[in-house]
Amino acid sequence: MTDDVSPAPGRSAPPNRPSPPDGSAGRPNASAPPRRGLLASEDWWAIWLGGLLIAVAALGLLTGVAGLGRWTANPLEAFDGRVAGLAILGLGLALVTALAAQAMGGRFIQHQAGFFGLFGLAVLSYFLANQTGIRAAGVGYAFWAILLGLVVSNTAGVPSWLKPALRSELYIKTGLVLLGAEILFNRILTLGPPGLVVAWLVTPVVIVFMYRFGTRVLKMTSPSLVIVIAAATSVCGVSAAIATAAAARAKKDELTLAVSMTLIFTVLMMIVMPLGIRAVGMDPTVGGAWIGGTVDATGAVVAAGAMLGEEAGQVAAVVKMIQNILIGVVAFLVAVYWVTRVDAPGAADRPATAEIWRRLPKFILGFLGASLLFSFVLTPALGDDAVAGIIDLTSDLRGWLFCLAFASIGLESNFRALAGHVAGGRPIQLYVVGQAFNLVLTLLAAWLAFGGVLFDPVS
Amino acid sequence: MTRGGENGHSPGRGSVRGRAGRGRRLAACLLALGALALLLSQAGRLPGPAGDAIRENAAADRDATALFYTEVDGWSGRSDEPRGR
Repeated sequence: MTDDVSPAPGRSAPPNRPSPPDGSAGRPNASAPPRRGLLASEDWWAIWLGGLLIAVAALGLLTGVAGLGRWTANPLEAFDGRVAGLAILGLGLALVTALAAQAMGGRFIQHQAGFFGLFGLAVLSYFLANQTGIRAAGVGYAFWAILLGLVVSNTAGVPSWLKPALRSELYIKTGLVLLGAEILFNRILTLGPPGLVVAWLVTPVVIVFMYRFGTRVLKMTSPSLVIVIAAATSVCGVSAAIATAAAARAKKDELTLAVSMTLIFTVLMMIVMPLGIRAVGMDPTVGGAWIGGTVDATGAVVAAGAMLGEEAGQVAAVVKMIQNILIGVVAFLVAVYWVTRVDAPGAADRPATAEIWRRLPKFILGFLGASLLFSFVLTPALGDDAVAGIIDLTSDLRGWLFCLAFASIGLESNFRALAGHVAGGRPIQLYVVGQAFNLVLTLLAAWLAFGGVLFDPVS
Repeated sequence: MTRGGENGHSPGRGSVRGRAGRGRRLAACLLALGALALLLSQAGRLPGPAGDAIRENAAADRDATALFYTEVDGWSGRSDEPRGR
């Protein structure tokens, strides 16, 4: 992603100028030796850090990742017996990210000092999201982290000691490498064709429709904003928005806008869709598939599906799971499309293979590599249960990294930039029209696949 | 006395005023954010279907905030449930 606000000290990208195509940050020039490039680019560091964290989890050196507890009325319950674990987690993340920061031209000690402030915001975000009422309402840490960051940056301003730790791209890309481990391609084979019809036929159609609608009909000037909203709407909400934003090098406030919209509409759809399905007397299984293919976030899908009954809940969850797996393919294709088409609009501009490689966001290799490793090496070698145990750890770490990224993005965004994107209401029009198209197409696919038309009814 | 001297328009004094103003804005926004959190925590008390949905989630201990399927409890056992008969 690129900055559209003042970057943190220690970062080379000046305001309103995209990061270098290869994701390097702090690298003085493109003629630097390749070895230095491997240590001076956020993309590569995301791969190293993600690989390190995966290795630590897979080798059994990490047995648990600290988190906050659930609480209802007594806030102290969230921290009960967890303070030491959180402190160790904060120190560990501060250490590894500071190493990366220093290698990329930052300063080790300054990064560490700022990181603890940022980690404090992440803890506060999880603390709010873990309140039982808020958790049941579907308002997660991403919402709170962005909001807290925005509040601080748009009122008191970001303190100078915090700025060296604002490396949202490093946190996001490292989190995405860990997310790759959660995309198990081999699971698709066990999921059955009805779910594939709903999740895999509709999703690409909706992405393409929304991209063309946003760029050609609404004439939105930022293709990266369009693709981020399209991916969030059609794939799996926040996580898809993050992955495509990184792949298309979207601006931070574009990601903030897409995530905010998807979070708001997810809560609405989680409540409204089961009501509508029950009101019209739709087959719960078809309704579950419809919910799984359209509601953006997985937690909201599970909650909305469960309101229709156990079987519908399972169908909804599995359709969403299949759709989640698409995120890797979508991010990779978006990265390639951006390098070959969007960044090079004319035929004469089309880059050669070497140039495509130079421009490709390299974290995508770690993202796909982790997915392939877990799908086709670790699962056959260690078994489903062992891999699930490892993924539970990497998933928790990924959550912390995303939370740090969102807090960081909030701190680097300003309301004026966000208002500029919302002006004219085009992003909202894109979301509403795209989601309406998604709803219609997914309903048709759900009826064909789960209504006994193309396949036998599911059990 | 401010660093800028006795002039009421000195940069130092302005900066102190600015800091105080920013501090007040931050406090006000954090209060608003706290109020929002308090309201959301009580969303289960809403009447009608919206409240029902949230109460049902809370009663079943469902995490409606999960972003990805691996964050859902029991995700690894969900893979082969809905298949054609």
